[in-house]
Amino acid sequence: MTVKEVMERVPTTNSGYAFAYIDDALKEIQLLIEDNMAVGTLDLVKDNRFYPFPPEMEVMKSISIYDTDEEEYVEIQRIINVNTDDKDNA
Amino acid sequence: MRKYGYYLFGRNLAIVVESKTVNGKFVSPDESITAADDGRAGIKIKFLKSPGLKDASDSPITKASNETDTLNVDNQLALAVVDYVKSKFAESEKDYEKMQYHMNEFKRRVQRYQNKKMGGGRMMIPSSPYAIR
Repeated sequence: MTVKEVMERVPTTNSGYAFAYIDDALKEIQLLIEDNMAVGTLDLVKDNRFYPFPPEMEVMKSISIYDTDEEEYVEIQRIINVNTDDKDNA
Repeated sequence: MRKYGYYLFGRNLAIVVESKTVNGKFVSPDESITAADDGRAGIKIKFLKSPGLKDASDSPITKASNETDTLNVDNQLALAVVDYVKSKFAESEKDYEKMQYHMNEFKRRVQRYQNKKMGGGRMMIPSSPYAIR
């Protein structure tokens, strides 16, 4: 369905608002169901603790680290209230 | 493999690894795993993102910018988008009853789309470290 068809069904001629609401709707759908899964990769850098999320991410599903011995990605767990200190971050 | 973990730090992802010397203490990664080593980057993030749209030349775009752009979703989800847009226009006109009706329709259509993909019986399988095999 094209944006024009969406606007005809509403109906509206206000394309500025319609474009913004369509973008919002497409993002909102991802918060309700798992429809468009994607994968992003980052280099793990020595002494670098903090990494940005992919800018297009709506919902994070899992984080994996590459196991160089087994040559496969291994899902890692979220940790809460652990003994950690970020002073060692470069 | 050493024990890695993550936590959320504001808008960032923090990756830590259990210290080699102190049990239970997590430190910043003390080795790099980069794509240059064997072609695979060290961190893989699975996430959900907006399906976006396609422009007139069928190239994917993230935001609607033209009336000829096509929503990159199933037709049933496109109808849900129509309800969402109707709901938002009703909200801007302060017609809250109509807004609520179309927002409910939006959610109903999205859930129905999800359910129709999952026919037949379902079986729960616990994640592997805790499964009884």
